[in-house]
Amino acid sequence: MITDLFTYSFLRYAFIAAVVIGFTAPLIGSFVVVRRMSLIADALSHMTLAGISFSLFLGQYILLFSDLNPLYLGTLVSVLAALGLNWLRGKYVHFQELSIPIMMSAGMGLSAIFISLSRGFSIDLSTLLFGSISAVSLSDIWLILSVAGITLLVIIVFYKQLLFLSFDEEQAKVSGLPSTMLHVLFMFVVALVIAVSMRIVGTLLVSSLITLPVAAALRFTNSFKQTIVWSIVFGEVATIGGLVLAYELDVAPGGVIVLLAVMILAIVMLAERIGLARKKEVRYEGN
Amino acid sequence: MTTSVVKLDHVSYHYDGTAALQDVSIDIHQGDFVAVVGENGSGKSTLIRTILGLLAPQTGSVELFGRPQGQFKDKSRISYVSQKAASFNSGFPVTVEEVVAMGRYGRLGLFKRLNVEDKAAIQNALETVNMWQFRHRKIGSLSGGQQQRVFIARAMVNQPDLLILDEPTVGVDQKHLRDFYEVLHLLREHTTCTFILVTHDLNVVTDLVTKVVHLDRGRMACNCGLKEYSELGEWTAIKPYPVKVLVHEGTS
Repeated sequence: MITDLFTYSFLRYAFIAAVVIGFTAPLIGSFVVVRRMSLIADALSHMTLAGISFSLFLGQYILLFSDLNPLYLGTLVSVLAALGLNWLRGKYVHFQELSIPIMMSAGMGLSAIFISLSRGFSIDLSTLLFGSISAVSLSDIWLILSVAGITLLVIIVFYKQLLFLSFDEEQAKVSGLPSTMLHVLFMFVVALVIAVSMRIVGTLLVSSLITLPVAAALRFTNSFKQTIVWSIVFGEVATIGGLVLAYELDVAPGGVIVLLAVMILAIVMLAERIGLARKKEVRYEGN
Repeated sequence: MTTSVVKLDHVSYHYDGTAALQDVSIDIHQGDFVAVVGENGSGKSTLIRTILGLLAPQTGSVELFGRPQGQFKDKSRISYVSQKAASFNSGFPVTVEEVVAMGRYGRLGLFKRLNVEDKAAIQNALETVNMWQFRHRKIGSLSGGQQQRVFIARAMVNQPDLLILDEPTVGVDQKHLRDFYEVLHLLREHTTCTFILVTHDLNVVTDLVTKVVHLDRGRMACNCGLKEYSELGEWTAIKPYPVKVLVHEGTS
C-alpha cells in the first residue's frame, strides 16, 4: 500500500483523512462519553446524511449544487440539528434522551425521501452508509482539516471549563462559568466532527469511532487527560489499521475500522482480566 | 456592625403555581453559622438555589456582600457543596486532584493554566481535609465519606467568604458522618468563613450554629438564635427540631 500511497492521490487523501479523524473523533468523543451523550452522534450522523442526500437531490435541478461538495450541506444540517437537539432537550427537561430518537427519525425520514426522489445518485448509497476510501476528495480534506483545527482550538481554550461542565454542571454554573454558551459551542463542534467523519466511516458507523476508543480507554485510566490520550491512540490504530486492511481486502473502510476498534476494546478487557492492565480500583473503605 | 454577606428581602418563588418560598427575609452576617432546617419540601433547597443565583426570585431581592445579586461578579467568594455532590457519575475518569482543581477554574481566564499559587491552594485544601495522600486516586474509587471530603476541599480551595452546604451528608454512613463534622469543626476553627448548612440533624452542630432558619411550607417560621429556637414551645405553629444546647466550659 505504501507505494500506492505515492502513486494514487485518492489514497493519500483517504490516509490524511483517516489520521485526522482518528485524532479528532476520540478527542471530542472523550467529552461526549463522559457527558453520557454517546447516542447524540447517531442522531447527528443521520441528520448529516439527510443534508448530503438533500444536496445531491438539489444537484439534479440546480447547477450550483451539482458542483458543490454535498458534505458542505451535510455539515450545515448537522450543526442545525445539534442546535435543534439542544432546544429539544430544553423542552423535555425530565426526558432529555427523547431528543435523540426524535432527531434520528427525522434525519432518517428526510434521507429516505430525498434518496427516493432522486433519479440515482452520482455516488453509491453504501458509500454514505459505510464510508469509502475513494470518496475522499481534496475539498473534503480541506473541510476535515478545518474542522480538526476548530476542534483542537476549542478544546485547548475551553478544556478546563468543558471538563468542569461535564463533571458537575450545577457547580460549574455556581462558579460563574457560562454553561449555556459552552454547551452550544460543544454541540457545534460535535456536529462538525461527526459530519466530516462520515466520509471515512459512513453514517451508520460514525458514532462507533466517537465512542469505542473512549470505551477502551475508560477501562484503565484514572485521569481525564489519560483518557483523552489513550482514546486518541486507540482511534489512530483503528483508523489507520482499518484503512490499510480495507484497501488490501477491498472492503468498506467503516466496517474494518469499527471492527478494529471493537477488537481493541476486547483486548483491553482481556488484558484487564488476566492482570496485564490495571484493574478498576477497589472501592476504598478504610480511612 | 459586621458586614452583610447574604440579604434576602421579601423573596418569593413559585414552581408551576406552587409556592416554594413565600415572603422570606433573611440577613446573614460575616462569621455567622446558619443552620437551615425544615421538613422535606419546605423550600430549603429553593432558598439555597436562590441565594446561589441558580433561581431568580419572582418577587423580592437578593443581595450578596452588599451588592444586588445581578451585579455580584466575584463568584469565587462563594462555594457550594450540594446534596447531589456525592451522586456524581462514579465512573468519571477524574482524579481527586483534578476535582479540587475545578474549584479554581471559575477564576482562571482562557488559555491560563494552573500556576504555583493554584497548586499550593489545591494542596492546602486537600491537606485540610486529610486527603492529600489520595490526590492521584480516581474519585469514584473512594468511599462516600472520602468523596464528600474531596468536595469540601474543592469548595474551600478558593478560601471563600461564604460556604453553602446543602444536606452534604445525604447517603454518608455514621462513621464518615463523624469525620465530616470533624472537618466542619476544623474549618470553623481555622477560617473566618460564613457558613449556611441545610441539615436535618441540628444536634451535631449545636456548638457551631449561631442562627437557625426554620422553613415551613415555604414560609420562614423561625429566624432566631439557637437558644431561642430550642425554647420554642408547643404554642408555635411549627414543630421545632429537638435541640439540646450544649454549654461548653469556657464559653458563655
